[in-house]
Amino acid sequence: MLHKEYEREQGPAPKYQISKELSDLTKMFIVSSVLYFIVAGSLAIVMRIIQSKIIILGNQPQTSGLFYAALTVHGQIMFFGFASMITVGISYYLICKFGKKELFSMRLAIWSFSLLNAGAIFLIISGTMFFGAGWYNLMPLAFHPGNNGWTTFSAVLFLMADVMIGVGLVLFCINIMATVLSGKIAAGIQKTEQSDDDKHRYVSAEDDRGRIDLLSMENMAASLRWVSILGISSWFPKRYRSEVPAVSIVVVGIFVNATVLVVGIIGLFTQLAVGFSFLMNPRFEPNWLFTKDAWWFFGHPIVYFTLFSFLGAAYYYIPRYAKKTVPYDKWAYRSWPFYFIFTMLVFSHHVYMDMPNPVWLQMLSQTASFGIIFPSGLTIMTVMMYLFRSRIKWNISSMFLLAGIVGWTFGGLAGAETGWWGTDLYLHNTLNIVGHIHLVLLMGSVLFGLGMIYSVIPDITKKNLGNTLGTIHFGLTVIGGFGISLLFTYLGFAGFIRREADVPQQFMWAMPWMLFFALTVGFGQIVFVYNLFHTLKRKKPTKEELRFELDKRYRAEKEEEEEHVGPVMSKDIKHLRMENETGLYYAGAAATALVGILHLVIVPYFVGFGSNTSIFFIATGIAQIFWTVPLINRWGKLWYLLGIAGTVVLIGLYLNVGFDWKFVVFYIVTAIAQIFWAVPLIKRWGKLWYLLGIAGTVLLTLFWNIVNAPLSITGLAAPYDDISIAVEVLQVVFITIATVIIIKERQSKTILL
Amino acid sequence: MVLLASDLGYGVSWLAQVLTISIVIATGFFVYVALSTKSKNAALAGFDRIKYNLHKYHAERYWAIFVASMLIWLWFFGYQWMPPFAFSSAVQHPEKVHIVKVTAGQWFWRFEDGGTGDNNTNPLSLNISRTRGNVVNTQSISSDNSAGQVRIKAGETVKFVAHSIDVNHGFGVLSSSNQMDSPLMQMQVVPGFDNVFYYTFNKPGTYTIRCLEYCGWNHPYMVSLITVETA
Repeated sequence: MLHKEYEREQGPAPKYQISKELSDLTKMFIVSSVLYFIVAGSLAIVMRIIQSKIIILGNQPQTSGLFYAALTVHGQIMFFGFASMITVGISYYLICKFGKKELFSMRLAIWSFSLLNAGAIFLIISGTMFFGAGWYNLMPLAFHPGNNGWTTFSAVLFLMADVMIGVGLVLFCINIMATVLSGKIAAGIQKTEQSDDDKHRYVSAEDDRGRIDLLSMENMAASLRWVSILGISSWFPKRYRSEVPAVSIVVVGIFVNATVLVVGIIGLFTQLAVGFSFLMNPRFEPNWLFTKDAWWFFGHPIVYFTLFSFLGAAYYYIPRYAKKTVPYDKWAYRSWPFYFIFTMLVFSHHVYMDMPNPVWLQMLSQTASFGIIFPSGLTIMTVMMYLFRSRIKWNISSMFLLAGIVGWTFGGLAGAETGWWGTDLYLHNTLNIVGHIHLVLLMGSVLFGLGMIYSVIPDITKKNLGNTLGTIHFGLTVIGGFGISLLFTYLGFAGFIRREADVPQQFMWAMPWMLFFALTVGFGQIVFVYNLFHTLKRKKPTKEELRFELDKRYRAEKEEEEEHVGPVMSKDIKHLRMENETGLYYAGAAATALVGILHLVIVPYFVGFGSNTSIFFIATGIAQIFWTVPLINRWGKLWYLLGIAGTVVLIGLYLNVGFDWKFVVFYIVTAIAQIFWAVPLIKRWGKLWYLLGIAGTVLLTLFWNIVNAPLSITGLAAPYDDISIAVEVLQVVFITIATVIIIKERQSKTILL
Repeated sequence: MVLLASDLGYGVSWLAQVLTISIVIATGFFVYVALSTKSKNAALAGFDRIKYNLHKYHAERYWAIFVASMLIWLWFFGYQWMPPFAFSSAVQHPEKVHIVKVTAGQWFWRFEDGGTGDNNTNPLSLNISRTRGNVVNTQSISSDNSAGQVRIKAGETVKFVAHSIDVNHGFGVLSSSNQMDSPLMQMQVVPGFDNVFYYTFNKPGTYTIRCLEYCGWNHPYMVSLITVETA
């Protein structure tokens, strides 16, 4: 049974067999989206080269023109050519697999594929004509390019491209909604919620109840179907909830996605209608504010469009790689009604700075921004709980999915800061917003999309993508992507205004870094394209080859498992007792490590926010995060020493910048001390070390209070602000936890004796 | 007096610190969860048991309550900065407000002193339009380099009334005379509308005006200056 053996490698898969037609269509979507990704990525590199002033075409305006054309096409091709295309393709595949039924219309699916492609090609052609009104094309700029700008013909091509893409997306939405709403659909997984005693018990692969491939096909009434498909039933009280059959969370994600977009796309068509009317009748005086609001009514949903299908899928794919089937989890479903409502309203925060907008719209913006954070917070936590201690198999796909969650979270945190009108004032249209969008899209949607390709291609073709090349692809994409996104974010804080072809001297230092990170991502994608096409062209393995390979891996895994569980040594009896308290050790270690990091964050206070400090800030941040790995994984003394030495070297670098010696030395010394005290806790060196840590922290706390006293006896003035307070609180937490550990260890020893 | 985030002591450096701390904490959480999948506990306790325990203690319920409470608190924390509230005292006392009329176009700024309150009798004053880099924006220099100066005093509330003669622009006042610096305030200048923003300059000095919305190829060169005098 080839399928059975394949499953042992990839984890349990729903049993529904995908038709060859759909499988080919999915492959076509994947291949074309990857090609557009390469085109859009190359344009990003062109932008970085222009900003670095490596090439200047003839004169400056032409170079600027090329930059803005690249910027425009990069934005729309990334959105529509890559992110939307891969979302549409994989959604078609997943809706059949998890709804366990054929698509409503394969013809509509092929039309949507063709229109999206035609639109993307038109976009590229308009770019070659130097059309550069920006990806969100705020009218009337498209028709008023100013001196030496693009032609009206290129603007028409661009608008026509958006019409084709819009129609293609509508066809997709109709197809998905019709597939889900018509006929029978696989449902019933909430039945795994049992009696009161074990109502939250989760089923494992051995337990048939709740297996997604054992769902029954149900002909649900419209009312039940809607509350189930939008996730509303998960908020019902238990007794009503169990009366409504639940559909797969993957189906919920895709359906919400299609429903939101079909509403949001009205905004795109409104903008396009105004544009064409203005072109045909120049005397027509449109309301440009309304046109702009209409565009954003579509502009925000399209961002979430590239996420939702994959978020739903993550609930299946993460347990899958832990060799488990999908459980019913009401909290996973509970975020979807909020997504459904707030994704349609959250456009309002894009028009924050449009003062003539009505008051209700301005008030809605802050409410909707926070409204969308709530379900996002729920999703992140529930997905992470699927991962927690799950013994997941870390393959390329699961690593991309986790990295996607991380990027999306970082982007969400950056977005939350601009969710207030008062703080958006400082960040709106700076590079900070570009950082936010790259974290959410490049490090969120794109990573999810790539992760899904690594899952779906083996499912369709029964051929795994090359693992080594995949690892290289993952590494380069993550390093380059996070590098450039976080750099954008922090340059925005420093006041770098977005969409500047001509970068001022004060930010030129960042250009080589940006180019470096962009090229890193680029090289990663070249490796990926080779891997993908090589795999698709590769001959399918014979049954024998596959069986041999799978058996080899299975044996290796078994051995590793046995080694892992191995017998406990007698000398560790005390620690076994404390095994349940591992969280305590980690919490203590985390507290003291955070104190150390916050101490370093304080250092830039004394020099302001200059470019050198920014580098220092980013470098130390990355280094500190990395050094938690050897600590928690217990790599050994050598690594801890390396971490400490690394911190010292970074500090040495920092010494070249002007600063107030007294504080820098004080904070650096204390930072090292605090970070170091994490080691004895994690390694469990014993009481003496814990006591030393407590005594040192008490001394530091006292010192801080003396320095900050109103009538300072030292003549110094340390900052008395939020970070310092956080540091002090964490120090108290550390002292408390370390004390508790000592007491508990003592008790556990007594019991054993 | 207009109440903005900066008046409460929250500026860009505060935002940078908050984001850094949040990212560090989030990274710690993700690293912890990722490493837990390899830990001894993953083998000893297992996936189902852990999920069972987490549900027994309603971990997700308390997380949802925590996130919701946090967001409600942040909403109330931030609503005071919303235009209807932040501008309310300035709107109620128009006689104390100094009006400055701003005209935006590809690619220039023009300023006109509108006087205080309803008394709009002050004559036209300076537009300072300058170029950056290698490009000389002939359009702006030839048509708008008129003499005079808008006199703004530190501590007085200014009502900027901006309109655009062509496309969308972004009226941004940067926090210093540097050509790129954090914005102190900004608003979109949408064609066909009077775009109004109130601001009180607390410190005298020279500030840069920049276009913060992409408006064509010469967008980076749409720069001007404004001087705030000692009260």
